[in-house]
Amino acid sequence: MDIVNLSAFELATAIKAKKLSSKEATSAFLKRIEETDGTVKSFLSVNTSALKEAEQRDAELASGKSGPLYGVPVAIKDNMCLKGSKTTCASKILEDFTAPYDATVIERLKAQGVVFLGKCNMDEFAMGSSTENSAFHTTTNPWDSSRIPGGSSGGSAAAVASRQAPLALGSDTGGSIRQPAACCGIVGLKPTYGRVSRFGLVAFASSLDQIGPFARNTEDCALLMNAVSGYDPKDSTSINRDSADHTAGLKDGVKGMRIGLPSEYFEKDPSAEGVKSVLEAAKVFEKLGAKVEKVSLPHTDYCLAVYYIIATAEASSNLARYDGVHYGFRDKDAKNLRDMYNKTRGKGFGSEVKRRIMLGTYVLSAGYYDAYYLKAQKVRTLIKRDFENVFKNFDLILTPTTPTPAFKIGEKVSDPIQMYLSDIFTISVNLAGVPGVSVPCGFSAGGLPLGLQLIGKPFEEAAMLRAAYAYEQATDWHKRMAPVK
Amino acid sequence: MLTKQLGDILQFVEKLGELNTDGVEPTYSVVPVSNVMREDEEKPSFTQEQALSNAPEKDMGFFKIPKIME
Repeated sequence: MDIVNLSAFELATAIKAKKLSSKEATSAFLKRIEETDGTVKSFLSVNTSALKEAEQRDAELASGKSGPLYGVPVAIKDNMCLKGSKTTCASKILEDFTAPYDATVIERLKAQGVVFLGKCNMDEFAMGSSTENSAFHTTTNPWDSSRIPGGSSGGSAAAVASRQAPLALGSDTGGSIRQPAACCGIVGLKPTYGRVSRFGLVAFASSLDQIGPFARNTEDCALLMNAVSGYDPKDSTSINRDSADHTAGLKDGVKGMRIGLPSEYFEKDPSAEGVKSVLEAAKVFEKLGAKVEKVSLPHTDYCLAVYYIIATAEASSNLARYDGVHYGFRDKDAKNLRDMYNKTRGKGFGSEVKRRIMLGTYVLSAGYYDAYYLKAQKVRTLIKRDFENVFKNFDLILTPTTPTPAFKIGEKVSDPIQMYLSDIFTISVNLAGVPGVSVPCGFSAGGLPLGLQLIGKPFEEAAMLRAAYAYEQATDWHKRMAPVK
Repeated sequence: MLTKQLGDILQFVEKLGELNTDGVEPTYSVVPVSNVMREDEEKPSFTQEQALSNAPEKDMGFFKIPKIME
């Protein structure tokens, strides 16, 4: 039995049956990290007390404690606070920041007996699509180390794809879970806005950010969704409603489900490999008994522009807190307070973060507010209505996750708009606040993974996962393992 | 380079001008909640030491900053 190849469900089952201890499992993944992270570079920090925590879990299991993920190791994106650990956001400005408290998702996972393997690399402050904006290093794609793993949660995705962790948490503001999941050939889910607490997640764009799971199959993804979702009074945007069991009904199939294919996502480049593989997937859904029909999301072309106004505006406001006073980096050479602010931010932030703060400040400034920010919020309403209209007659929407498979490291770094375009199929989901999941759906001619995206109605992650599971059972894509080379 | 990039991005978002949004309400948040209140109750929170634990410079329980006036 190669422990690192087991799914989270298999690990939990073996641990529960006492065939495997949490310590054995944790140590296998730590060894895998040691062996492969020189190439993959998923982690910013590895939890040095992981084995001790696993021993503790084993003792608790022996005393009768249990749970669906008890004793299972998990990796965390480095923008979530884990008490006592560095939480850097892959930024120089937070390089020495030690979280003094736990994010709610961490608190929940601790209560459910999870072991933390470490903190994963990302684009600085989650701004980017490749991890190339990390202030520390670029993570590589486990299928081809000359390529990006996607981003911003690229470290979390690469860790799961390379079997350094069975599960990981990421965050998704415009595609930052789904795009890297597609690039790395795994499952990644962005929940409905309000489903998972954002307390303790370092804020980027507060009306768009959501935390969500990465896994190597749909069932594991559902298990981690169950573990982290639910109402939290500490996050005023979290929604108080009955928490769903995402594993119940998972295996019920798609018979009678109505799935819409939005023409706008397929027309632009019908010959693209990603597009063709999703059209093949649509046939699989039909064969499984779903009704698949063309639909329209007419404002698709405006999503990227709306996103880069709203996300940068919110970021410019959120990132004003990094002032070198209360926590984080301070430039020591400053002559006075103003000079300290300038130098701290000048040296502490990377160029993409600065670009977005400047753009966000500009679109919010008096005189431009109506033309940019207010206009974008109005178009956001139109985008949201597009989805509401389709969901009157359909249960799910099916699209490609990305226009292309993972691109080469360095290919898009000097052209921000080209980089932004890699999120063109995922951004609308955040603007509308609906859930979306990326599932492996094939490989490019060059052997790189491709992903399909299923988009669901608000709070109907379970229906989305049910369809994803049915597709997974009918295909073998998710069983292929990244060679890590 | 930054000037050109910001110019390009602004030109890219100009696209929204094509759309007529007269009478359309803005969506500031997709969640149907506003002004979430809570009772003003005392709850466990950081100690002074914890609150200052990440401060770049501190003195006698305060955050210390460079001089404000010349």
